[in-house]
Amino acid sequence: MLAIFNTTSILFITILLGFIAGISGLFKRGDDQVLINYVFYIALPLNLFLACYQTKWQIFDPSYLSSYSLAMLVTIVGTYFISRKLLHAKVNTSQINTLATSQVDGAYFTMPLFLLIFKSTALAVPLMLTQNLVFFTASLLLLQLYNEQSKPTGRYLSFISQRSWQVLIHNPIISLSLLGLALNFMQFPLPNMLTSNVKFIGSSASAVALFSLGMTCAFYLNGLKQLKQIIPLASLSLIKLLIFPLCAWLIGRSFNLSHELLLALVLLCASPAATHTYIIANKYESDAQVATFNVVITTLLSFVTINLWLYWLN
Amino acid sequence: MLATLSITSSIFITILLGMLCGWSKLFQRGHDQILIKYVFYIALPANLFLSCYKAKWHIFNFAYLTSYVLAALLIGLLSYFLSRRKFDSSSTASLINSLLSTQVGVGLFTMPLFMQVFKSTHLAMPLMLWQSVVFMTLGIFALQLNDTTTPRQRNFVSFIPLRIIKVIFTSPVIVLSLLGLTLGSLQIPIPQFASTSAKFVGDTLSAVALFSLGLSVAFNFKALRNLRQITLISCLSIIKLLLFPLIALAIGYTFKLSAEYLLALVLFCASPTAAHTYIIAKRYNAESELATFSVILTTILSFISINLWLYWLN
Repeated sequence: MLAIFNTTSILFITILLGFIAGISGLFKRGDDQVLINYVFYIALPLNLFLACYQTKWQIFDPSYLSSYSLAMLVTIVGTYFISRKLLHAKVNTSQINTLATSQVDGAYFTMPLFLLIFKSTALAVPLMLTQNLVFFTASLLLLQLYNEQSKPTGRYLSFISQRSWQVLIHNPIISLSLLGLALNFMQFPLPNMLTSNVKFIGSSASAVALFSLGMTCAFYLNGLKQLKQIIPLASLSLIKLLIFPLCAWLIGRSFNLSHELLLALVLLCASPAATHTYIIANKYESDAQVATFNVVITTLLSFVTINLWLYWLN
Repeated sequence: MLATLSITSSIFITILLGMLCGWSKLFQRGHDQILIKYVFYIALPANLFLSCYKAKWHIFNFAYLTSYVLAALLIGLLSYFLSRRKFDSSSTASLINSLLSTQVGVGLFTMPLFMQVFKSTHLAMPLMLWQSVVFMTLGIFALQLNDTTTPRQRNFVSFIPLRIIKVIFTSPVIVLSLLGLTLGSLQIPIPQFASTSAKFVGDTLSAVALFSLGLSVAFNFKALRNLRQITLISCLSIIKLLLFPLIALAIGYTFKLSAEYLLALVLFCASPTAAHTYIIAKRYNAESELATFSVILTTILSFISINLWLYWLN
């Protein structure tokens, strides 16, 4: 257990450092967004570009992708019914809750974790692509369908194609990952100077991402005192950190995934909730407070759960 | 020359990337300050703590320090007299000019450069300590003596020790460097998770520092067109990038410094002007525009001068 703690402590100490910097007032609310911008637009796209360029196409293993997709579907359906039947939430809120339990914070937690465990972010790429291109687009479409103010005019197919195109073009993480994969596929040689420069900037992604995540948690922690929806929050955190990875592990095992792919699958599913869920919740006037605190709580609790998953799977 | 370029290309490409992001408005004015704060309060102290812990007190080589002190004194005096006699500047402006040609942007440029060339920042530490504690204190002291708005009844004798204590105990960069040196010299073991975490965060120093430097250059670049003191700024840039390192080289050579110390001394002195000089210039109402452009110009020109110095000394 101590060996695992030694590996993951770097992650949580960096989050803690960001947390302290936010709590102490050294950094102001909003400063975290600048660091997030640096990670999202500069460091992480370059890191992923190189990881994808150097990776092998075997990472797009059909069993690996199917296990993840099935686990996602089970978790989404399970969360939706728990929200509707047990927590008596509205349709909109239940949809946001499904995002809170299934969407993973790839950039700010999973990628640094993968870099630490697998020394590369490549194994996260196929799952992140599926999450962002398929599941997130489908969730947004469903949210739009049930939202009174922004009901689409009926062209659902064009919505899906437009959103997929928008994600591909405007999300530098995805576009540079795909570019890296394309160059890799064509066996296009890159100059040594270029790869060393990309590595130089890309290697700063993990620490800055985790530090900014700690700051974000600090800025939202004060509001946690006023939170009254303890039961929904606890349920969502439980599903996110334990049920979702457990489900993925069971499906992955039934698909006979290799140990490395199984570990990658579980760790990705056990990562804290994605920060973008509270932006979506705000946009659709749903329960933004629960979504926000879900990110904070799952990040804090992941210190225990990630270590437990690693200990169990190793 | 290509080998030299491959060492420094990461530095200048990262600065260029920062400039592009500033010009393209992907990052707004002020965002550079948040990234700089991350460098000064988080990444640089962590990096220096570890470097100094490993380096121990032998980095305080007497000949190395003396060569730097003599070269800086010579350049400071030369810049002052050149400003007063040739450019008819006021004594306050001349003092600022001597700071511009001697103060080095350690955190944002020299440390990343040392990381690339020596794979550690420890050789920059004694010179940085001397620059920040002694030369900067003396520079501000001289400016205060000259400043008519500062009340005369102030006790100037207590100013120097008070500022030295303030710099040593309030700058996280210096506090953690000295802590690292002390722990390393006393051979006090630090836990593995602490050293790996310090390395993890400290390794982001170079990329974030250079990127933020590029952003700062981009935000102040437009105003360069309005500058009229072309001759003075050219003189200061020549002194900073060529004369200062040349004198340091000559003195270091007479002190029979080893090749590593000599290279470190020259690279330290050839680094661009420190960004804090324009804050001081603003505070004393003297040539703040000139100081800003001196930082920009020396940063841009250092692409040529640093490569030439490295090529020549290798």
